[in-house]
Amino acid sequence: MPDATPPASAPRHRRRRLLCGALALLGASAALQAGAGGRIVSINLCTDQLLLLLAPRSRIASVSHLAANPLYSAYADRADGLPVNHARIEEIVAQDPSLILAYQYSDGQLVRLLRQLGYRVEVIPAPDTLEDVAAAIATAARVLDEAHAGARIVAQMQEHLQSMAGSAPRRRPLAVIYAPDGYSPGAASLSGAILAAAGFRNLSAELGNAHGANLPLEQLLRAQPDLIIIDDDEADKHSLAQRKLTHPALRQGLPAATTVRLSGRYWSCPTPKVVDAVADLRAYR
Amino acid sequence: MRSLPPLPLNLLLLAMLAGSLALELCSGPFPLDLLGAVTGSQLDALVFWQIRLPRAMLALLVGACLGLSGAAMQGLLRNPLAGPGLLGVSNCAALGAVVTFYFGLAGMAWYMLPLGGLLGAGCGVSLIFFLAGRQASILTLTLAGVAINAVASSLISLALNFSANPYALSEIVFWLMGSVADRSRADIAIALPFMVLGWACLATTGRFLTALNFGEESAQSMGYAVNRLRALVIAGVALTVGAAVSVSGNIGFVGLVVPHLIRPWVGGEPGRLLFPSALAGGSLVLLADAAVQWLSPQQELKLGVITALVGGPFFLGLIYQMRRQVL
Repeated sequence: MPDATPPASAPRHRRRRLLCGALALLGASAALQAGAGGRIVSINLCTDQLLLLLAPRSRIASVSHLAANPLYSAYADRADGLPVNHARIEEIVAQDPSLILAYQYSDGQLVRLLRQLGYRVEVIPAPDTLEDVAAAIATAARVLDEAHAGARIVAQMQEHLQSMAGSAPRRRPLAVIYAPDGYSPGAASLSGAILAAAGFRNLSAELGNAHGANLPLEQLLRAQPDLIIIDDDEADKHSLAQRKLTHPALRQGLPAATTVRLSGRYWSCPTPKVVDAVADLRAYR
Repeated sequence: MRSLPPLPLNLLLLAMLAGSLALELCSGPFPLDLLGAVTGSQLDALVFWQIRLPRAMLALLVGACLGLSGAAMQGLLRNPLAGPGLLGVSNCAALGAVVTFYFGLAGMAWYMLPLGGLLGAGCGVSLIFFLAGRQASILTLTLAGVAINAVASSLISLALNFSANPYALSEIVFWLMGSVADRSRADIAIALPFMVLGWACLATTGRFLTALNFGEESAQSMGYAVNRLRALVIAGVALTVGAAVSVSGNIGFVGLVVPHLIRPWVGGEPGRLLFPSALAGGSLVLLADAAVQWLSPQQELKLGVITALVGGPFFLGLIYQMRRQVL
């Protein structure tokens, strides 16, 4: 397989090394844990998707109320007909789950209380890099006793990523992700990682925003990015934050830029769909 | 302090306004050569005409509305602690705007948003007038304002909560604290007609407010149609505050502070206070917005943070001076 350009290759090696570690871990834990059973509750959109991806439907007690919404969830079809919860303590306790999946951004008070009540709560970390995505899938697979399924998915993901990296062109156009209220994620964010993997430079990162910041409209116009990725799934809603995305200066000031809308369900959670997001984005280079 | 004749005072305030406007136009994430921008490169011209100028004009207009309505309310209620923010009129206007904006009514016609603000402000100012009334003590009036403010701001939060808007939480802050960031000419276009109408109402009431200063009976005996003129002041306040708040949120303390700063220069005459208060209000909001951009270029502060930082201590000082009257 032809190798990528030098700047892209270094992180890729690191990624592969990390992945090998994750896979070794998977094997070990699968050997230790036998059988499963019980009923599993997920209280966050991201853990919903991991649960729907990794575990058979029969093991699921409930998913969060967003899991079946195709606007946010990449596996919405699989959630159809499943009971839902709203991450409220009494709902969860009533289902007497054997395992509760929570996300890094879940309500910490709720997680603490559930643990105090004797429930097993596993908190899946939120990813900032594609390596983190693989690690999060592996962690979820381990706690769900579905290590084999997890390893297979991670391997497929990795293969898909490498096949794309092999054909990386040299040019790295300047892109910006622009979310309602002008928020633009930096390099240390999942969206930033997807952008980098697709071979784009990230305007927000170049302006020194590690995690992300609100970019004033003027700053966006001065930088003249080649690609503007509008991160707004709910264009039909009325909010001041979204009105900023339709400011006349944005239309008139960047005549040469390509504008695309990203579908947030591929961009916000650690699922293999982030690789699809990378693939979609590469079409705009 | 000796009062100044109207012309020199207004010229002085106009000069201040021009200076504040220039400062605001120079504020932003990038240095912009103003003279060059007006005619110069495409990008600079775009930034100037589409981003900085609309923002500055909006700050100026909103400030003028707030200063003017503060002066009018202090005259009408004969109460130095009156002002659209403190007495809850601004929050009522914000509530009206919130209801029209987040439930899709604002998309039906250009005038719906300011109309919502106008109706809200109208309810607020009428409520204050009929509740605290003509002879209310400063204490009664201020407490009525506290209650109206509390109800209106919690209704704003409640309405936003029901609005199925994913950004509701951050936008509650906008409506309660105010901002003119990243506004376009469209915002000025929808608010300006209502503002002009409000200014027209208030401009005719200057002499009446001066007469009212000596009491209702005196004003009546001097030949003023007290009830009609009072209604005109209420309408003018509702129009100016409603239009301003519906495009900028509730920028606090401007209407309270500005008339106090001007009063010594006009010899305490409520009628002569109106026009200078509008000019000074414009300057104050322009300066506050320049400060916002200078203090936090990335994560912009809300304007109300700055005006409250200035206005809050001023208000305390005012209470200290008046504490015998208040209690």
